[in-house]
Amino acid sequence: MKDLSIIQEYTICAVNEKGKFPALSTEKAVCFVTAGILELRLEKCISIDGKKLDITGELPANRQYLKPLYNVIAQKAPVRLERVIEAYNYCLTHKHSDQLMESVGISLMQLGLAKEGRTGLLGSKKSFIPTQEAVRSVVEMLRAELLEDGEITEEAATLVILLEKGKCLKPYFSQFEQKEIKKKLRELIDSPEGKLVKDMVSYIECLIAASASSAASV
Amino acid sequence: MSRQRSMEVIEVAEYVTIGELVRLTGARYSTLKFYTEEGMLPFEQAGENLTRRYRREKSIARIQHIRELRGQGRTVPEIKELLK
Repeated sequence: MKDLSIIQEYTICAVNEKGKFPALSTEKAVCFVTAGILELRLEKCISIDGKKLDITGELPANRQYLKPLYNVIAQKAPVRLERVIEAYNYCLTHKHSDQLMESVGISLMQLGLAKEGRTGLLGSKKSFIPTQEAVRSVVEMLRAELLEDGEITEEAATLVILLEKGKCLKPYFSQFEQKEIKKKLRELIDSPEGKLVKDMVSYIECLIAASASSAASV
Repeated sequence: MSRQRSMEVIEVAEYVTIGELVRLTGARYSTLKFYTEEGMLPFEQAGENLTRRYRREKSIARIQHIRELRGQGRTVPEIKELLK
């Protein structure tokens, strides 16, 4: 298995068989941008202070596919979370979200983990369809991390929270496994080391709430 | 919580977790868990939580060996006997 980042793994699990987010699933699209924001934070490229994002470092060479998102934040930094979410989820042209998806999709194709597809009217839009093998690898890695006793990595905790909030766990995990995963996350949140997980849950909930308020104002 | 170890680090580590073994071998988690519970995949326990850890080289060789035996049509009970 190759080293994959949170947004790459999230994309692999969240897109449908056509390689896109279902039209009626706002959560999946919001969690896609959130995955990018949290990854930029883990890489110490940005800070999240309350509801504001600011640039704190350069984008590493191995995260260049996050450049479209990094640039959007950098152009207006410090910028409110809602502004970023609005730009990605409530823009008629879908310019920013398409750019980020293309960038992440190409990175997956370069790793041999996705193939190009076509969606939209007359196949006018590019999409990226993950291979079965890529999906299986990510899901098995999560099973091993979350259903086993022992420490969970920040990446696995972040990814599973995003998948849970994006309503993506159901196709991959049995009801029993989903219960176990939620139990493990709850234990993590309640533990002394769980501050990071707690922060992540509140960031994601804040982002989804921001997306709802952006939708109401559009 | 710690950061995930990169493949570069895992590929030279002496000990790995079951999750890292999944990444290294491409085997299913449930398969490795089963091999572990059946005593086919030895592990050691470390730390306060007695977290299971596996010797990387020996475990990969063992998984490969089991795969070969499965490929030859051997059943799991037969393989368990052979590994004793």
